[in-house]
Amino acid sequence: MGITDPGTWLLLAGGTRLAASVAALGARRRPRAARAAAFGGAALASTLTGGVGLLGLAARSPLQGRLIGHAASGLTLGYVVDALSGFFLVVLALLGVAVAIYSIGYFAHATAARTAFVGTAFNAMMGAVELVFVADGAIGFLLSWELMTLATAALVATEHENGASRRAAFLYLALSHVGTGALIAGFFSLASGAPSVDFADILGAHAATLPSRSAIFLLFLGGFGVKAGMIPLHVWLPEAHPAAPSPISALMSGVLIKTGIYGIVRVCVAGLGPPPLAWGGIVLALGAVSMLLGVLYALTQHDIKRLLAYHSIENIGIILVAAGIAMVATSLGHPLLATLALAASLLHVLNHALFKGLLFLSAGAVVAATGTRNVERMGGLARHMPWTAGFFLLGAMAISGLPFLNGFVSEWLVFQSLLLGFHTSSHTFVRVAFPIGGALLGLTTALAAACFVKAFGIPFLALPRSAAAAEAREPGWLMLVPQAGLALLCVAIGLCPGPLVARLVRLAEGLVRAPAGSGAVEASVLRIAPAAGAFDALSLPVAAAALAVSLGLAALLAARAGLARRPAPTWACGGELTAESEYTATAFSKPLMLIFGAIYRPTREVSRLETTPYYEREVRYRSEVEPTFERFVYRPLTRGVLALAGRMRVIQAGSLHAYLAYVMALVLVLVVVLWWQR
Amino acid sequence: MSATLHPLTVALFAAAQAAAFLLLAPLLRGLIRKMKAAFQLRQGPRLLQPYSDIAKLLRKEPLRSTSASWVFVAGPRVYFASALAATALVPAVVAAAPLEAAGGILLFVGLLALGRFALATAALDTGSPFGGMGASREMTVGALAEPALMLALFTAGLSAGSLNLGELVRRTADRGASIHPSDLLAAAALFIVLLAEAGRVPIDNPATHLELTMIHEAMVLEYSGADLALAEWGSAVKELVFMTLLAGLFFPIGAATSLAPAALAVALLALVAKVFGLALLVVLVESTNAKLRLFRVPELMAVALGLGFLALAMRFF
Repeated sequence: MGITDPGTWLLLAGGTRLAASVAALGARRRPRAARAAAFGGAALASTLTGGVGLLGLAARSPLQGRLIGHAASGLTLGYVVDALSGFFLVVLALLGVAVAIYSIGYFAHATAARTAFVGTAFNAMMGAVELVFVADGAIGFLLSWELMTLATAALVATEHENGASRRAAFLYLALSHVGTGALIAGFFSLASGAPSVDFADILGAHAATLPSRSAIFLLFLGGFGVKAGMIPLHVWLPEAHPAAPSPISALMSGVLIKTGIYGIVRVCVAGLGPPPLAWGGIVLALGAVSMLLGVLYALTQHDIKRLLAYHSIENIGIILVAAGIAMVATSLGHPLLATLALAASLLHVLNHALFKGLLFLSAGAVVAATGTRNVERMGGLARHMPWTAGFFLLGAMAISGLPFLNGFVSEWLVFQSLLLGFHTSSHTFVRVAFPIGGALLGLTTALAAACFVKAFGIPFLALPRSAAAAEAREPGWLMLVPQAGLALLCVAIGLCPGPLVARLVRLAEGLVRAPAGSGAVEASVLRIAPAAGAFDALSLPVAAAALAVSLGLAALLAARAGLARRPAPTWACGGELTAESEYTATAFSKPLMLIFGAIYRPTREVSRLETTPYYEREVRYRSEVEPTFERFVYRPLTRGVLALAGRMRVIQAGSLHAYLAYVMALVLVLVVVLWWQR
Repeated sequence: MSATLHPLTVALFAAAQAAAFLLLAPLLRGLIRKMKAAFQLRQGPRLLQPYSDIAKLLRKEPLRSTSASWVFVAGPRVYFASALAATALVPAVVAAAPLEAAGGILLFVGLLALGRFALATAALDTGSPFGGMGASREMTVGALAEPALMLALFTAGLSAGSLNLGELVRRTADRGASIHPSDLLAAAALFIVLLAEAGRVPIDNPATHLELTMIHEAMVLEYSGADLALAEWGSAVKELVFMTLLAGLFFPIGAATSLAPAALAVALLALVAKVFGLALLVVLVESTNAKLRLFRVPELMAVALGLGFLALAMRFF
């Protein structure tokens, strides 16, 4: 193991995480030292693994080797860093470093014990996600997958004195374990007849020969879908994201749920042999449902972190739609289209990590400053928190898919693949599903913009709606610099996506087995163009220059010398403008809530108190959206499982003799079966 | 086409086209107002009144709400600039857009979305409930119009085999004056979207004085002076761009494919006639319809979406 061996770097990163955790746990009496050790170490380790990711992206063939080998038992833990792993490691590192630095500032007021606990769980989770991305076989993958789940559950339960946090952590654990169960079943089925459980042996050529591979596909899609937050397996996500501390939410939304996407791309898209049309159709449909319902549910939320959590479901939907297009294109024999769509999907993985990470970090600063997550109790924050407001606005514009920010580029590519698919293929499924997909993606994007006008406008603009909001102050530089870094990346990718897109196209070519240098997307610094530019092309620097010149003209037109700008109070129909008369977030999303009433099935309750014939002193208004999936899917399911468990209790007599009898009976049955087979 | 041109030529072309849109947009507003007045047997304001209005507003001091931040100031500027930048993506007289190398349909839609986002956000900044109401409704209508807009544009793009507006108009022009029935449906869908985007009856009423029924006007209620001028001018440019686009996509008769003076003159006349026809249609709709209740707008948008799907189905099945 030399210095150039990526295994050394990975071990070094793991060692750093371990040392950072031990140091943080040891410094329980000195909160400042505990913070610096835990999160400083985390940032360092993320930098190292990010470096390994870059090596993986740069290498021509996968980097592999052994992390730990135990000679006596023959147990070894190996790693493979190919371009896909490398890409996800880089995404993880970009967000991981930002979140780690932010956390040093964020946990400044936490007790040393809590800091040490969070720091340790944080490092464990990051390390586990890194191991998931570099695992070379089913055993290592499942072990690190489980460690990741447990560490995340611990982080969700950070504020365990709060009942909602405990409940969220439990829900997350329960659903995750169902998902992990599906994965174990999937890997076992894959491994039948294979020489080992290494990915090299079970995925690819071997998997393609299995007769039951459609069932295996569904097992993996379900297992990874839980982690990704794909509807209808999403119910843990809107509970767990808000319950965790904000930097952890950023990490969960940015990277943790992407492990599900990593699995889907590694196994379902590229690992099980050429996908039949139905697989792509299923992924496409689930993605479309996730993106539309995700954004619709987000619109009704007034808890800023829950709102962002539902937008994670929306963006996972967009990523899955693109992945589904790639699968459909592969099965119909259009490798170029598959390359384009998969590159769009992967770019959106990165973009979502950047802008959602940014949004959660800004929201975290706001929640810390105001002490509430309810946007109706914020307002006017742009005045006292100008930097945070600016960063949140950039993130909001990026997630709304507005040009010159990164979200536009990936959504542009998804649209391109939908339209190019329609253009190149005359298969009925494509001809029916792709235009509907395009219309739904357009609707989703526009609804996201509506939601983020609200999510930015209500908390940051106009008058403060509570005393806490009026006294909110900008956080320290440790919490601002990471936001600035992420915002800068959003703008950079939004203005000049060419080189990145070119790299992702090469990565996607390998995954869908398209010929290298296929020219699926012609990308340079100035311009990106799918299918060699005949269909559409995008040159964002040129468009940005046009907008900049126009902005200059607007400023020139409006700026006449010697003209005073007179401040004046807002007209409030003769009354005094107060925070109570401002438009609320509830009112803002009300029209859409009524229009999509068939989906929301809202219940409302208005009670008028102290009514005189002329004037109502107090009106109480309550409105709720029906939690369709919780009520119609999960509640019957939970009830069924509990009832079954109740039946099973009969055999749990609690007597040692009975248990011994069970063991005896089992041994007898096994002996008989084995004798029979002999 | 523009790929072979010198960058300076492209910049000049873009500047000239943007200037033309900027200078002519208020005239379209005045024309529609004048024709509407004629329908109601009124004399109406002068044809050139919008110019006087903008000139007057640009000279006036802007009042800025004490409860507003920099977002309030940025809103109209970004709105104006995005509409102006979008003019460079649309082919007008010549069958080529000045900046068609920069992007096609999706960038055009994206730029308009950027302007809408900026103005709606800024409307929330004063704390006035009318601003919030306008922003909420504008974003709602915009979201509902989006699928229909996308589908209609996609139908045009897919039947020409390109999403680049310049390329699209050239290929449609090459096909000659034959109009496929699907074009009519897609054009109808896009016309409904035009009514929504330009804030026209039956979706919105640009002439209303009742705050509770306003959409666009409620958003800009707190603006005055130069800020208001930019918002109004921007929305006039947006309307003209949209009409030019509609004319170019579905009625490609007369667009100049060469720079011969005769061809240019014919193209200019044809464009004026087409935009005049569309303006007349807008006037007819505005004069014969009452404004819809906000919650009836989704039905209209569903009609537009249905037309889009029908157009696509007719074209490709």
